[in-house]
Amino acid sequence: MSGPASSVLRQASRAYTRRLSSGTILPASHPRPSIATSRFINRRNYVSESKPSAAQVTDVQSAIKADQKKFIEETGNLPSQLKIPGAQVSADAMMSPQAGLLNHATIMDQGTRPIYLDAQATTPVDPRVLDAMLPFLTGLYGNPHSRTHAYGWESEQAVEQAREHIAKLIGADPKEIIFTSGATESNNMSIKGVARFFGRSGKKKHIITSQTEHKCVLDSCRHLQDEGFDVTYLPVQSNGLIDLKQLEEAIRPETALVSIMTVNNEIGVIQPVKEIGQICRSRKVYFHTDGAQAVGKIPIDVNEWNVDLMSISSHKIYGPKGIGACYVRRRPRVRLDPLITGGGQERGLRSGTLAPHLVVGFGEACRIAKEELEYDSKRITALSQRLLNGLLSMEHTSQNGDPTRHYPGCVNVSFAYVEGESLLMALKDIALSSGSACTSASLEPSYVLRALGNSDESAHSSIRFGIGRFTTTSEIDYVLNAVRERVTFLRELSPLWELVQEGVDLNTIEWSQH
Amino acid sequence: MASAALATAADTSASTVRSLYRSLLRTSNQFANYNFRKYARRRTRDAFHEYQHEQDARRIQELVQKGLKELQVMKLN
Repeated sequence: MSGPASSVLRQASRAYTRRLSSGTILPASHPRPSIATSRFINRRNYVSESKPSAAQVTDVQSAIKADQKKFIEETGNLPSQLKIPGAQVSADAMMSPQAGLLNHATIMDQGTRPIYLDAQATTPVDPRVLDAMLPFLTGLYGNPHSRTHAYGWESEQAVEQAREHIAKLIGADPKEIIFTSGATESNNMSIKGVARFFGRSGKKKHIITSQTEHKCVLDSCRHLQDEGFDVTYLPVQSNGLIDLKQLEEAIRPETALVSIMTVNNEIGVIQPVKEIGQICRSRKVYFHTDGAQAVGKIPIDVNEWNVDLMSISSHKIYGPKGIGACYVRRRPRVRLDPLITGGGQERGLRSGTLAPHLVVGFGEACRIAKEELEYDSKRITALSQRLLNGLLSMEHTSQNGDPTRHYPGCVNVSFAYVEGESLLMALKDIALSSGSACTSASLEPSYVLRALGNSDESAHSSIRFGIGRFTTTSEIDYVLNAVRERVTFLRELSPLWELVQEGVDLNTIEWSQH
Repeated sequence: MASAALATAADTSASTVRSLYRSLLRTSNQFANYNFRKYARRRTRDAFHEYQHEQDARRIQELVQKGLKELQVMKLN
């Protein structure tokens, strides 16, 4: 706006407000401003006022459509086909979250998203769990450690109830449950905590674990080795189970801790935890078990098993990600050095404010898991049998791990003469993995399968199928069909397969060296 | 909170139980996610078939309460 015009306007408006506030009308003493005022008022009246109801867009759907139409006119692209740079969302979702979500839902509905068969990596949040969590994301926001007001009390009550559900699932006392950020932290806390506490005196500086443990257990042990601890990595038999005699021989007077996982994440074998617990109790060694894949899937009783420490994860049992728990026995008391120190929450073993919504979701997931344990395991066993029978009916396939001491939801099968990674690529419509999610980025063969004594080729050609609560029979049938089809196709391409069909034993061939 | 509204004894006559079954199945169909939809349908069917011949009045009362609670959860989702 130009200088004189704006000054006129300013004057006019000042006069206008003064008139409004004082209630007196200044007559002809200021002729020019009054003219300007009248012009100003006229201009205001020129545009008629819209009613509040007309000003708001009530029809969300038509608004979204109008938005999209404008977008297409401007860019010539469909918003759903366009990716917003820097964010992995389609322009559709960016423009109107609702439209994006609806799009997402229909994609899921039409089955264009891959079939989820990776229940060992993670599981979807159960709608019932989400329902329990929601109040703690909105209204009930109190800090559960606040003792001085009602906001804190209600959160604390919910947290304690969740603790009870978790304790009930594993047959423990609620006071023995320590919330952590997940099973990895629980494993780290247990192994490093016990080792550091008892290693301080310099007498107990030995740890026993197995070769097929999860990466976080093995890595914790490697760190302790750097700190001067002695670690025994027990080998496993070809069925994936550890030899109890070897374990007994490995225990020394200076052994502080034995850490053996309950259910293996890659091959699904169930270790003889009860027997290991007995051995450890009789030799007065602490026993830690990684139960991330076992809790809520097989019946567990920490007292019957003589487990001293157990790691539990929430997102493997249809709970939210980002929370887990560690069972720490109170009688006989397990002493450990906390990893995280601070406010002294959780018996001083894991300081830091709890996340009530995650804790409540975890608790609800445990309650449902206990309630549905029988139903789910019956169903998962049936689906697993169906899948396994179908896969093993193909030639040159074999199951990895012990067929009887085995959690049915984890089916690990080797397809000989097929490259596992290329099979995974061919099975784009099914979400599968060749091993644990942590190592799925690397092309290294699984160390678990190598520990079983499998050859590199066999380890490379293995695929893990994870069946969960929400897997359907028709999905299993689809997967069976797809796997059969693509394995045959990939084998047709393979020169090795041709040799095998001709009856040549591949081990007799001398490959020329480069 | 949800249970407080349902604390009063629910009607357990055959017709209301059938109506509960029907509305559970109907609400199950409203899940956008295929897996959740199928699970809800399957779980509802299996649960009702499992307790088809339940005679104990108290147990029936409990089960109906549970069904009502599940229905409420599904309606909220």
